[in-house]
Amino acid sequence: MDFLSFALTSAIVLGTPLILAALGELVAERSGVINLSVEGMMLVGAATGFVVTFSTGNIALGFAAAALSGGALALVHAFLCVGLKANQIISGLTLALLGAGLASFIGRDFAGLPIPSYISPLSIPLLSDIPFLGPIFFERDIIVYAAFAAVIITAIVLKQTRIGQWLKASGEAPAAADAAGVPVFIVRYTAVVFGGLMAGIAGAYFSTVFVRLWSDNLTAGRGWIAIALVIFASWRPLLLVPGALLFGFLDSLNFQFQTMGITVSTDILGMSPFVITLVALTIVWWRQQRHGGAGVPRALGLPYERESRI
Amino acid sequence: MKLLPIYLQRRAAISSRRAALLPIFAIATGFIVGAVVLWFSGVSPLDAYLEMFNASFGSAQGLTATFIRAAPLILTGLAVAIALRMQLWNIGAEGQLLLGSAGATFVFFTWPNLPGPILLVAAAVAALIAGALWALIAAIPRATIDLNEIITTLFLNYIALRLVSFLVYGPWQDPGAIGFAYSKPIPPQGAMGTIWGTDLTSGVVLSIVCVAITWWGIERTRWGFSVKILGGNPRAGVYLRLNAKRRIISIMAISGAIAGMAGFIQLTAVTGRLQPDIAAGYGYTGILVAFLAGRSLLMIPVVGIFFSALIQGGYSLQAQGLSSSISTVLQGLIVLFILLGGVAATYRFRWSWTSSNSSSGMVNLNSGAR
Repeated sequence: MDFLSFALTSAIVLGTPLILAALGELVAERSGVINLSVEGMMLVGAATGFVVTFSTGNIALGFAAAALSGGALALVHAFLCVGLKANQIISGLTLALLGAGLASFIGRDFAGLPIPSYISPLSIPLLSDIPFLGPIFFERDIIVYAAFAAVIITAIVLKQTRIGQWLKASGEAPAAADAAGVPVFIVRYTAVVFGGLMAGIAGAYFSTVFVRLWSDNLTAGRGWIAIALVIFASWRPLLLVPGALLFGFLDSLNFQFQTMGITVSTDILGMSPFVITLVALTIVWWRQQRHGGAGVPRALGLPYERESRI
Repeated sequence: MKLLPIYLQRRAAISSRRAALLPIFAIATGFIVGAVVLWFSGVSPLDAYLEMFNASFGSAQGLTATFIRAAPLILTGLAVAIALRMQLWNIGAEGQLLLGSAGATFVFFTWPNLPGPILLVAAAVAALIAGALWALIAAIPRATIDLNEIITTLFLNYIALRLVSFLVYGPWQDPGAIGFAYSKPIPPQGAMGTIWGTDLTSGVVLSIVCVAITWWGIERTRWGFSVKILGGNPRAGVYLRLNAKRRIISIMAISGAIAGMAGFIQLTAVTGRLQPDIAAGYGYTGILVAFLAGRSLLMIPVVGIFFSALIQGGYSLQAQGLSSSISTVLQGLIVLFILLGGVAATYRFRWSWTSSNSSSGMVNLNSGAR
């Protein structure tokens, strides 16, 4: 395989968990709740998904367990921040650390054990016959297709449906939404838990499909990248894709340069995704600020207290 | 729609007795839930907790280790806490610590023949500067274009880790141990002394001195007063013509410098070499320390020593084939219960299926959101 097609392929594979996690965070943030525990939820999902897949040999069960464990952690966040109006930043950061601890606790007896590849690529007829692009985009596994489908579905739901309106209203003007009959609390609970499910799945994709191993801190900061991608995308689902693919590509360079025998320091390569994301984030944010409004949901981070509505 | 027959009414104020009981409640509940986690993984919680206590407070050796480990935790906790005075979240203490130790290492390797005291002071200054500069990378965009400092400081942690790793495997590698994750050792006169013939290093004393100085700066100077005003009520700061941008930059620089100091202590008192795991998660635990210490900077040493004991105890479990991550889990649980209890304490719980309305005695005094 030549460099370009290999690079594009790994960009998609490594970008997929980012798309999943970032999409979940985007939905939570559109409802007005910022959840900084994405890294923790991904790690818990990665550990649970790996342990269940390893023990049962059933990867679907592994993904289900991963989604549930990520969702459970998110439910704690929702209970604290939506139910009890606690500080979203503190709760999220604490759960990020707690999640990392729980994950190494869950996975401690499974560290370093390999599992076979359970998911095989699913080639889409006709489309995969397109020269060059076909094999890159249409001979991937089902989770990749699902991630891209989820982005499109979320974009449509946000734009076209009542649920999308409820979500946006809860994140922009919860008091007005509540007065208009939108169940703000239920919307926020659901959105945060959805974010947890997605982060759990993202983690499981990483541990059971991509590296097929568990080790402590396996996701190595990708949960935080996902949070940055949401800002990058100005809280719009479709714009998550280019950012995630770019990061996936940078992430993959490390593997590729090694296999191609190019001697670049792994540390310089390893820091490059973070450096580039940081620089890009600064530029994008600066430009958005200058053009008025960066798409930040207006009630983001603010608990909604019904009793102080009047 | 009601899911539970509970509704909440906000209290006008929390009594000081409630506020004082809160940490005790949180720690107790954290340990109880931790016991459930241990029990489910087939370990006797009582044995595990006893072992953790013995390894951290139960022997002279354990106590020494606890105090040595407390020094960086106190400093990273302090770094996070003072940034919080301006409502800034410095999640980057981990990276600032790494840069601080790299800065000190630079001094040690550049002037290895200086006499001990001069060399130590120069290295400490370099650590302060390196930590401060690393924090400024996030502080300047925050002050100028309002770019969220949580994400940027966190990214800088990952970059700092790779930078130190690069230095250790590259320019500063130990010629006697090529391929190992540590630099060559610092000159012998650069090692920090111990106190009164014990094994206790001076790091913990230095860290408490830093807490005292910072407390003085925040509580007793004009600058500290302006920081508290801007942190408490930014609009009041505007009316008083305080320059919020300059305060953001100065407080973040000081925060980074304090975390850099932790790096200096780790290097000179613990590792003696630059290594990528020199920060060992202290920067992240510092966030929890700062939060648990609450409004008082002077509580930070107490909480720092407590968390240090938890970590030290966790390692003793690891020696017995258990996961040391139970201490991370315990720390997280305790903070979650502080959060839970802190919110619960501001509410009065009523049990009823009928919905509340504000005419039932409690009027909202402190939530005039609109």
